[in-house]
Amino acid sequence: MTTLQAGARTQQEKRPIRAQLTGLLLVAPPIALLALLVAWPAVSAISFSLGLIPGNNLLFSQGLHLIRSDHPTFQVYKALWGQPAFRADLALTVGVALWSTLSICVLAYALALYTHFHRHRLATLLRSLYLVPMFVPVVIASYGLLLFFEGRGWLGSLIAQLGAPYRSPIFHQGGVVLGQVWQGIPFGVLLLGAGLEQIAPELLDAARDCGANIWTLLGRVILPLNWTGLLIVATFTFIGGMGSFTIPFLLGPNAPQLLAVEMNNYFGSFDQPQPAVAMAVLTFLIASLAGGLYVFATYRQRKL
Amino acid sequence: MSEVAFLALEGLAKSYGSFQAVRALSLQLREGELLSLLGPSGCGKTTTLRMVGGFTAPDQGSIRIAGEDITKYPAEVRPTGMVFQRAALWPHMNVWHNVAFGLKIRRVPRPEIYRRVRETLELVGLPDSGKKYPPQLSGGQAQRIALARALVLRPKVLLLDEPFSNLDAQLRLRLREEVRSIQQLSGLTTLLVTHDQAEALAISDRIAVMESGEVLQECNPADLYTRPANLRVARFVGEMNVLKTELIGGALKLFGECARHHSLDALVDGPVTVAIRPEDLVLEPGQGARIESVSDLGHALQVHLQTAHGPVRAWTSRKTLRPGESVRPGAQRCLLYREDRLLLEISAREVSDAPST
Repeated sequence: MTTLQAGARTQQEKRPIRAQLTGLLLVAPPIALLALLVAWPAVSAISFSLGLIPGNNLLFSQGLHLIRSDHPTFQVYKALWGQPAFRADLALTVGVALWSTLSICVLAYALALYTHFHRHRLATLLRSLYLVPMFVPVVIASYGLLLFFEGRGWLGSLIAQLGAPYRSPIFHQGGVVLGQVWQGIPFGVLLLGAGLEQIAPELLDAARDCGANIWTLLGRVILPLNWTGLLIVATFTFIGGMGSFTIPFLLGPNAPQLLAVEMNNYFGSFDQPQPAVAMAVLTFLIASLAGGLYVFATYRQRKL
Repeated sequence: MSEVAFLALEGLAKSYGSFQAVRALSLQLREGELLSLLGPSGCGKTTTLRMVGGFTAPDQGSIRIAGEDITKYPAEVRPTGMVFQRAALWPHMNVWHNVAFGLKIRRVPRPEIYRRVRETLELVGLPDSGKKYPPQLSGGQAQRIALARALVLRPKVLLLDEPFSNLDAQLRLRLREEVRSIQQLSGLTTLLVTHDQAEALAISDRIAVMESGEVLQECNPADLYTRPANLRVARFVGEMNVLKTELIGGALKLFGECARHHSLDALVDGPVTVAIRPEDLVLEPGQGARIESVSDLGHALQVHLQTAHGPVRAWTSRKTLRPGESVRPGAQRCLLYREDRLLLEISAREVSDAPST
């Protein structure tokens, strides 16, 4: 009996090790992929932007105006920051990303609230319509917006017929915000709507029973309960806005330009990969700040 | 009662598409009274309560509180306080802020808020729970806080929407007694919605039994139990044996005997449905009913018998058994009943409960 029990115990002790190994083996492929496709390029890009140029990488070693160094240096960043055009590009990118984020959050929240709390025909129609942009490729949508909002487009022509002045947002920062809003609304409404679904109706009824009007209800109950969802939408929209290329390329201004377009110019047209990579690193750092907010939001949600 | 009605519902009706949830419902509550709306799921009791609370707009009818017509008032301005089936405490606020929420909205001065919240938390027996968050509360504690949140606003009418239904049996019993005690102490006019007949019978001043959006009977708990208006009420309130039999020559054929009662004199012969409660049946030595099984309810023995009218349940106390007598499956017994406890129904038409003799 004793031998049997001891044998069983050894088996039980072995099982967790085997289970741990199996678990590690299961997560190894995605971790390896992440390291190969994200971590390694990120590290090599950062070191490249700090003047550490790998000799065996033709892409990195053959560009114009390369700054080489044996030790990490911020020369590339200093040179970039010294250019007023870059500062204007950076300000425009952050500004457009912030405006897009704000617009998407406000509009998506309004839509999510409306479609959640109303059951009549318009709400039902909106519940189907808001998803449409999700199924239209960005490039098609951008051309659609261009044809609609451009000075000689549908809206411009209509307003011209009425004899009113019209200033098209296309090829200005407004055009990019418009495109980002078009692209970001479905994601925003979906996520915020899902968050609203999680709020039990009794919580809202209880607030009304205590005397809360619609604004108090929104500010003191709905928003705090759905705050995490809003923060997630804001974070992802901002990060998406910072790195967006197609919309700024097709609908954005020529000068200053958004960083993603400028990076493309530096990398391709100007054959200056080092400043392009430095811009990418800066964009990554700004996006990381927003990512930190997302981590904080999810941590807070778990804590609740 | 109309001249003293504190809460008066007159001709309330509500439909959802073709489904009539509430049909021309009229009820009146005196000040300080607790009336329970009792009925099965879907009978319209919660819809009625939500109409009083202002969460559902009635299609027809009016609601008056202390003489004031509040039918068109939105929920946020009605002088009512509601406790929901789930405590519905806001998880991002601690208990103190949950209770103080309504007072803050009303811009009550801070010292007054402090005093009232403290008093109300003491009233519900949780004076030290102010800093706790809802997830840190037990089900019973959460419902007490929900009650405090409603009471702190000093509503004219308290609305309770099955507030004990999510609690375990022991806690439910204790909390309902506490709520009744607080209600009586504060003299609050209260409308309680419940599908639990025991709960309604235990704490109500009056009970309105609802079915299909209508009130079937409205009276005090004792009358409801002993004199249900019809078989539908009888079936819903308490345990009931419903038996098919017939009237022959003015006598009721029941459990092998034909009995002539005064109350049957006016009735025509024919099929009749009889309802009688298990505790109103007495087991005596004799023939006519075969014991199928016996289950112990704790306070009594529930005896399942097979009779000529079908299966019958009877409750008997151990104390009433004679020395050496036992109730065993397979044994034959004679069933006796009290005439004044019979409820008769001929066809679909309710007749009457027999008068006391």
